[in-house]
Amino acid sequence: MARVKSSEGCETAELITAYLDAELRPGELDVIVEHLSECRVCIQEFHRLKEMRAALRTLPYLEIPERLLPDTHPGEQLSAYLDGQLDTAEHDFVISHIDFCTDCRLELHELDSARTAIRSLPGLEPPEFMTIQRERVQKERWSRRRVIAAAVGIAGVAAVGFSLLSPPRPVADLDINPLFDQHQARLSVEYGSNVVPVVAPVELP
Amino acid sequence: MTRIRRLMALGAASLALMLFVAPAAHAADLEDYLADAADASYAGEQATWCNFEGQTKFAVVSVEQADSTMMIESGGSSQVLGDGKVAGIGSTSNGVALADWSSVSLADRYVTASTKSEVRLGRNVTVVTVDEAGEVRARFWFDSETGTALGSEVYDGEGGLFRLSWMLDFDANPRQIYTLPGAPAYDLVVTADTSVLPASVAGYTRVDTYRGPNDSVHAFYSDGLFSFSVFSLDGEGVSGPFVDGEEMNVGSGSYRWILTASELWVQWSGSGKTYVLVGDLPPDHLESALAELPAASGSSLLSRIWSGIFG
Repeated sequence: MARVKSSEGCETAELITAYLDAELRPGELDVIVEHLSECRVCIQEFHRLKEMRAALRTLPYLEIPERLLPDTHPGEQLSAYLDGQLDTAEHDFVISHIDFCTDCRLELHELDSARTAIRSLPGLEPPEFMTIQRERVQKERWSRRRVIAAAVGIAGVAAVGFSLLSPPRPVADLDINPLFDQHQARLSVEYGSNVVPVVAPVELP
Repeated sequence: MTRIRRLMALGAASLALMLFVAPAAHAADLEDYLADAADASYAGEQATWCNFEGQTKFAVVSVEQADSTMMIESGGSSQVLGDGKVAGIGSTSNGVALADWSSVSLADRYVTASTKSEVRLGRNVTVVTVDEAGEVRARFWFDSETGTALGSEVYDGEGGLFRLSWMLDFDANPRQIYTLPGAPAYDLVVTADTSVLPASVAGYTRVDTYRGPNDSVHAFYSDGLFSFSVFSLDGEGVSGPFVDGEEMNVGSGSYRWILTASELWVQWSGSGKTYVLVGDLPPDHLESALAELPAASGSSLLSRIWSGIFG
């Protein structure tokens, strides 16, 4: 609590309120007691302050309305109010506030006027360099996507084409006579193979 | 009461024995007949006929077999084969000799359905009918005296005749015994490994794998009755006599085939390889085998793209 002068001319008058607030520093109590034994003005002031404090303590506790507190103006909520972006509690607060707050009502009016004026402005085309820049960015995006898609497509087509067009390693010219001889040699030790003699491949086309 | 139960149990056991043991015994009979035929000595003219996809081939060959060595003369060329070797008679090129081979038992799917006696070519024969899945798969006429297979019929999966062979004349006493040339007139074929050709396909077991001609891999498959070889070569494309071969599709794969009077040759390519199959397996077995062997490049755009990208 701020220290209050109890009486003009007394050096220690300020200590009286500190004493009543129990905020004395070490050594200051002796100064107060000694001073009060000599200074009638301060004694009276001491009693007056003491009574006043006692009277204040008996007053009922009152909630301070928000609108009376500093920094409780709607502020940016006014803009949100105009945009219809407030929830119910915020909306009620702004409405009740502008009922009595002339400043906020004036600010709200100015905000509304400014918005109306902006809306009435003719449409402006973006500067050419911005348009070119935007188109270039869009083109770059599209071209990048196209390049990726084309790469994937080309890879797929290449894989398919490679598989279809690349001929596998061809088998050497096939002479089946050596195969026939080896088959015959194995048949010669197989039971039942002699039931029907195997015809030589000379008969083949 | 106890005696009746024992009799019932004995009857049930006998019935079970008839149902489950008898077919296996029949299959073993067929193996015996085929083994006897392989050891038989005979000579004669033999007609062979083969039918596939509406195309038929017919040939008459001279055959002579003795001491497990067989001479085949067909189309002006003669070959002697036996004991894992084959050599051309009068040929200037070396023969082929396998370094090693394995054997496989007759597949369980074959059941000797019936045997009966007949007279063919003035000789007593035993007719053996072989069923597969309740349908006739083959029929053989074995000479009762020599064990020679005088005739045979093989049926496709729909009951149609796929292959036929019959001796036109038969001599149980060969006029001339052909012998295999001695070493070093052979190119030795050694065994190899393969990670491409499966260990079994369509009921056929990969019995042996060899290094083949032109850096190929040769896998030999058998089910004890029919057999085929698959050669895997590097590179893709249609080559050799398959350029003039017939086309067929199995699944989405494209194949070329050539029919002889005794066997089918099939060629296809896929994943950087070319495969050649040659064998006497019936058409339905062939289709199943092709479906399980390395896939052929499809004729469809999607499969071409897929194989082109991912190999």
